[in-house]
Amino acid sequence: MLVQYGALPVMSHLLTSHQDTEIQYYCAAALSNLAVDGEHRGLIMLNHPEIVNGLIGLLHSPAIKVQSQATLALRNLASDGAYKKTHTQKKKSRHLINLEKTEGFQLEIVERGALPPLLRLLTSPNIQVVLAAVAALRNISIHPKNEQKLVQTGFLGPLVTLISYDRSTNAPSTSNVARSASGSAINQATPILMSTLPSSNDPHGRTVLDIRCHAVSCIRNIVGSNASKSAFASMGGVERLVILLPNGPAQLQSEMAACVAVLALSGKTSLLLLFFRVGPFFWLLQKQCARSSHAHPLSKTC
Amino acid sequence: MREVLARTSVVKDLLTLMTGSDSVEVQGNSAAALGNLASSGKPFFFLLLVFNFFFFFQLPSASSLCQCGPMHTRTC
Repeated sequence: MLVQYGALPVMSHLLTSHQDTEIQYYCAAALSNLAVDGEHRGLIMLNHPEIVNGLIGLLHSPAIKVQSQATLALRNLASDGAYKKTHTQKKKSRHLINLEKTEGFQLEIVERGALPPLLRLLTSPNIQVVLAAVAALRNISIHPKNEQKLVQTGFLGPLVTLISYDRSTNAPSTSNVARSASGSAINQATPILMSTLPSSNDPHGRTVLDIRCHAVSCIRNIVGSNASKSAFASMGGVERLVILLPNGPAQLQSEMAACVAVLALSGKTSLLLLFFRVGPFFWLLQKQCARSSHAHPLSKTC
Repeated sequence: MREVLARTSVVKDLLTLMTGSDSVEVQGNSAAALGNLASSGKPFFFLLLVFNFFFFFQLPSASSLCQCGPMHTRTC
């Protein structure tokens, strides 16, 4: 109804021309809710691309709630499966849109420059922002053409960290700052603490669990090629995944097992899984993975 | 060599344990992971194990891409 009465141009105007954080927040929230509907997603992406640009611009906002809401709207826009279904049912309706163009909203969001701000938001100290960012990334990662871009932008490192996310992961503590300053927080095989998973009754704990699930699922989506599997292994991802495998609720275990299934498709990572912590074999294999990912530099940060 | 080590693999043991989970999804994905690991080393023990789970359970697509659905927002 709102869309039929011309809400989208109004929201587009509000989004791009106002600097007031309240307006930006409510506008992003409204767009996020509109984007739940598949047909509305199609109309936004095809007829109002400036809205996508505006939402990507809001990812740079200093207001956390604006960042979070804009990320959520992008997450909804990046889930285009339902749109195709809805649209197929309404092929003869007046909202007829070229179906070929509707494939790959994820690709378009990436092409409009969403990756660098999303990468920054993944390491935000605010847990809701991290959740929104990793969920958006999960949807963006389902397009096969985005795989290499995501790896090249440097998402694998933060995603490996998010596998064992807890409340203090992105907290600006002295040790974290020191480690990130040295630039070795991701690449070196740091000891992994078995952080306790909070119960699902705790809303904060539920958020932590969702972050971990989205991160594992996103990794599963982007480690399609052998090179990205090697890059993931060289960052200690396989080790972290296997250590956390027996712990956690069924939802997380299921995601991790599915991720292991994908990793087992490559020769090197399957050997790494089979030789897991078997003396020098494991160390040698991890070195080998690091060497091959260095030879094909996929983990370059932008 | 690879087959010998595969039989003593920590990951294999973990995944085998997880195939006994209460959750059908965990069972299915663990079995799929075991199947993929097995296919690289051809240990027939694995294949037999995985066959049992393929036979009894309908596996979720472990290697297919997954996404989270859109969600509504409540403003405060």
